[in-house]
Amino acid sequence: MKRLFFLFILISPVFAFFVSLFIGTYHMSMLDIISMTFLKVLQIISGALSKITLGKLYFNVHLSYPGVYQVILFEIRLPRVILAMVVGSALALSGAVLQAIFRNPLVNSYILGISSGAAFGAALAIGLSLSLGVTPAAFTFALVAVFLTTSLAKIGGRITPVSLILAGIIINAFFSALTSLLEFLMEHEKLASVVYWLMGSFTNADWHSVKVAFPVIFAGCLVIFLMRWQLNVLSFGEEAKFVGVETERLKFIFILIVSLITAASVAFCGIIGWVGLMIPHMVRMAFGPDHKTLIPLSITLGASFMVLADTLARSITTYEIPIGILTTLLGIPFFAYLLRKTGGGWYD
Amino acid sequence: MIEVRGLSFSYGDFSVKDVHFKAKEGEVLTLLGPNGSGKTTILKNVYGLLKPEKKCVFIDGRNFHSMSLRERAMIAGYVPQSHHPPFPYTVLDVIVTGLASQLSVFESPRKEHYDKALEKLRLLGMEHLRDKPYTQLSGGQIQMVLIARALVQEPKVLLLDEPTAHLDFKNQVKILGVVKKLTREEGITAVLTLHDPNLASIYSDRIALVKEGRIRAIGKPSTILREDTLEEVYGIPVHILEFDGFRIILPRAEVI
Repeated sequence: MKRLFFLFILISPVFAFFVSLFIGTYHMSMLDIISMTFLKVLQIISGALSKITLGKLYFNVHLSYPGVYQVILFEIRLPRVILAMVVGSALALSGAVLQAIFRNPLVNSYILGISSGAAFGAALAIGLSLSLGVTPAAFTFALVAVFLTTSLAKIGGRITPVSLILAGIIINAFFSALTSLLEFLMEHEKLASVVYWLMGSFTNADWHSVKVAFPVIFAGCLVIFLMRWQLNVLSFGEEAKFVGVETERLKFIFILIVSLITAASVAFCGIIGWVGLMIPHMVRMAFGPDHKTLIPLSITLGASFMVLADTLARSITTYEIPIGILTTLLGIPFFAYLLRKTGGGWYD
Repeated sequence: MIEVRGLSFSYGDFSVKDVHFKAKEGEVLTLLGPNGSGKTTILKNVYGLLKPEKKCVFIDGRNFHSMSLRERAMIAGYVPQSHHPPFPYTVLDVIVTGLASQLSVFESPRKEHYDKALEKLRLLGMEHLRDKPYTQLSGGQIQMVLIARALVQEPKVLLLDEPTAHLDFKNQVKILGVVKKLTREEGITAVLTLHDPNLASIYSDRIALVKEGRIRAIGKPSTILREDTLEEVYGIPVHILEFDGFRIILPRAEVI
């Protein structure tokens, strides 16, 4: 039973992917979507083959569907679905990693100052109409904030759980104050876009954002997946040294990767709360704390949860609901139920 | 064999000064002294968790502090004292972390590694605990698991920091019995800290009396455990009885 459930969570992104492709405000039949996806894959393969054979076409695939179908499916829905999935993975994974290395159940990657740094960057870009654009500004300031938090938290060459949380609170407060100041000085239309950005949304997802976010997040997830057992060892704190682990160096590598993938996520879709905290806890409560399973399941459940939440966000009403609101409202009942049932699966 | 040649360390007002000792293969050496005498500080310095003024610890002739943490873990195990289990890992998952030094950072333990962890648990007679959540164990069981975690490292030297702290009478006897057995049967050198002179008397091959960061005397229990030395170290008058070849230390009636 548990084994089946495990497999279901592991392959859930495949179902979530197709369900999310099928649903949208512009109605297309499921059959059309499946055959279009299939033909498109064939077309890409034939294109790739013809490149290898220098222009000689082995088979010619023609998509005989209306242009609007193709635009909606391939230019709007598909990149959005992919972006939501990679961002969901990144946030859930980051939460799992930081909860382990700081041995703290209340931690997610926003504790590093990433969210408030990114918010400030976005507010700055919108407020000053920077030609740089919102995404690079948010990304840059997210990393600046992480750098400040970890530098502040490093005392005598070590980052302890308490010093990190205090430093995170300080840096978060600092950037929040700066963001509020910018908002206060801003014109009303710009203020509206900052507020909307802060709520988190995949509205602006396109192939460009996928091309930037996907490789960063995929590489980050892969490295952490390979190193996942080290998290078991690191979660023993200082004791990890007794079994031969250079704890500070390893922690630094994990924080670096987590910062990059979270910053890459936040920069494209704003601040989507709750996923990084909730998903790892849900997996832990259902399958136990061993990171050998916790990490892959956090990645897949994060992806499925986020893309389904986004599908709801864009389809339940005619006007799109910011996804950050939905992830919270959807997550809370689940989480509350699991908490009551399992007592948290943390300390006993 | 572990050899400490002139270990000194200071932190604020507290200092450890010029500590020398040797412990041979299969020997139990106890650092005995009251709370705050610096036993734990000495032990942490020996492993290199605190940095002594010079590199002065040798295991089988090799300079222990010139090694990386990974190399150290392969020849010496450290069993820590107080301990807050972070997650409810199973006992086997906890023990297998002892193999971190033998796996690359990209590796996860496989069946052979879990088998090895199980073998050590069996050696300590705790096999029935294998799948129990670590957070639900008693203090004595946690101490056993931590010893098992150190044993999978296949150490030549085992350093144990107050292995009997917070344990009841039966578990104190059980843990020290296991330590003694490991030295006799596996040839491990054990260096531990204790504050109870009776336990030290029963289970040690040699005792180093520690006071204010210095070793006051070192030798066999029968020569070290004398009324005058113990009164000096503990600051209270004591009686010494002989029973079955062991020295038993009683506080004198007037202080009770």
